[in-house]
Amino acid sequence: MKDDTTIRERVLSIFRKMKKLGYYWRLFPAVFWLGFFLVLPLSVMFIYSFWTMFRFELFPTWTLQNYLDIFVRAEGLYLRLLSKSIGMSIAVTLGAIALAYPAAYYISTRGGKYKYVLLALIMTPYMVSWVILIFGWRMVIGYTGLLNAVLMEAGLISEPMRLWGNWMAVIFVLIVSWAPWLVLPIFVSLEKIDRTLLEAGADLGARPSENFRKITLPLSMPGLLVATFFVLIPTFGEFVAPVLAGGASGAMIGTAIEAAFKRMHNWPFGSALSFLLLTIALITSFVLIRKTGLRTLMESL
Amino acid sequence: MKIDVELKNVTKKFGDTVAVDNVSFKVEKGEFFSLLGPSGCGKTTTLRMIAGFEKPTEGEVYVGEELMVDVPPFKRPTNIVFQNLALFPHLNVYDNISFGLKIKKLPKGEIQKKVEEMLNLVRLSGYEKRKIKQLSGGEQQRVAIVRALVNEPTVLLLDEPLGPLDLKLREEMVVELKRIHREVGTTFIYVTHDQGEALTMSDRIAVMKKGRTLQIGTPTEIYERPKFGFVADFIGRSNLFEGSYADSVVEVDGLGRIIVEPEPHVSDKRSVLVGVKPEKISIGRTLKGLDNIFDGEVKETYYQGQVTTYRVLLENDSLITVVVLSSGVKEIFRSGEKVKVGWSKEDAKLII
Repeated sequence: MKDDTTIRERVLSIFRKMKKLGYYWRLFPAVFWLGFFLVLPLSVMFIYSFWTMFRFELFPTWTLQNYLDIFVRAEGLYLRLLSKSIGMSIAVTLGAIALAYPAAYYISTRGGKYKYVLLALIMTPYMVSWVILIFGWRMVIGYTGLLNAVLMEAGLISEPMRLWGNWMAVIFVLIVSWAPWLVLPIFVSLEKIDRTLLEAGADLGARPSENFRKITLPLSMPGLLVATFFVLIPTFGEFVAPVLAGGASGAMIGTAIEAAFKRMHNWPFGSALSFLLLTIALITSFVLIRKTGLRTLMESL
Repeated sequence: MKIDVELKNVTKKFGDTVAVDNVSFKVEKGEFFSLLGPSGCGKTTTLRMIAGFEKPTEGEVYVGEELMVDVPPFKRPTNIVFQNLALFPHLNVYDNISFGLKIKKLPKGEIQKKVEEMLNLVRLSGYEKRKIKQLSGGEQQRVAIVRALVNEPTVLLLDEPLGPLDLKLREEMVVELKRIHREVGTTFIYVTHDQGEALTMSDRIAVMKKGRTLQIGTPTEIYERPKFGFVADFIGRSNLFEGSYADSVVEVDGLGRIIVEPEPHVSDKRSVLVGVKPEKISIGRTLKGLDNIFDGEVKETYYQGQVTTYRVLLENDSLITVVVLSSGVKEIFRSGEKVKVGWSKEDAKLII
């Protein structure tokens, strides 16, 4: 009798496991997609990062030298580039949020029936290519650009300012190009705030400024975290803006990765740099997701 | 007696629609005053004008004998409990209740003492660190009430705070609110569409309809001596008969004569309303000793435990409601049965 029941239980448990496997099987398309398009190239890169390249040929040497090189090569240049990239990404994030928040706040509170028209207008820069946008700004703040011409004409400066071709120009173009994107998640989180909460705040004696600080700002935090997620991670590895607007001082780690692959023909070193960048991005994402909650994040996308 | 709140000829228009139409009333210190009426009657708008969220188009609002019309809500000595409570979801119970006190920059020790007192008042001691989401509906209700009360307002405004609760909890909260009012002694202005709540708790009630106050009085006055058909119907769902009055008798078309108490102020042949409360009507196969007895046919029967409610069709094709206490009743009449309904002349109230 007793054996019978144990056998039955075992059969049942196997059956349950198979059923569970069936559920996992449904994830196949997603897993395949990610596996084929993301994990495969990344795996190749990961393997390369432990190899050596000599005279355009790859040798499977299995060494950690590429990773060590990041810290020692060129007197710590890569480490400095990395920390500079992180610093610039943070500056871009803060700057873009500082631009986007007032816009989102204005549309959410004063937009009235034009709310969605205004939102759509905010998104129009995306009809223009990113590269064209950068050149457009170059025509405005470049050495021979509009700003310098106007200021010279007005006699405020005697020779053109060098606003283009440095790290500040990189931060600037990244801020102005990211800011419109950030209006969306911030707008969403502001829209979710129940307006009677602000009435309750006013009723309890809070002036509009106190209401903003104590109610609106903390309740729009999810939107700000989503915005941070949007900007911070991709900016870490930004490569176009430094090349087009950065000059020598505007180089970022993305520039170095490009150089390692293309000019130095050192794929393993480039791969190692990429993986370090990826690890930093993953850790940052993890922290942000833990803080925001995956659900809030996905709902704002 | 000191007047805490006074409205003088207050009118509020939203575009072309008149939400509040020339409303005036005074609320005495410590009074429990209710604004009662169906949805859309302007009671909430009236309350919001006292709180300062709406500005009257015309008229004056006084709180604590000071003119309030141009004072913003954050400077008014009023506090409100919102219909949806509007508790701050990102703050815990303590931070919600102490919100107003912190803005007033009271010393920390004093804030702590006051919050503790308030939590004691609503029997939620030890709930300081709870999140709002972790509280039940009734608990949230009580936190919202003390979040307002802790600021010691001249008047506490309550905008249908019991609306979202289920019936049993609502009854408990009615008792609770009355107790809180007794203990703190603050002036309460309570907005509701529930006549039961208003009658139970209020010292005085203002019945509102379409932006106007129809009648202001104590619960007994409103219930026993309604001045308008609407009031009689809204409070206690009176059965109304329209007819012409002459010498203690109202002649109702198609029904006959209803005998009422003599009313010397009413001129003969004037058209009047007679209101009879459902619980004052007797029902039976035979009735004796009543001033007014009519034939009817039971259309619907609702057995509700404590009481049984009948809808009875009279000869003038009007449906009346009759409520009978279930205890001591010998039989329940079924739909289609011929019955007699009747009431004494004292229970037939003339509404002029």
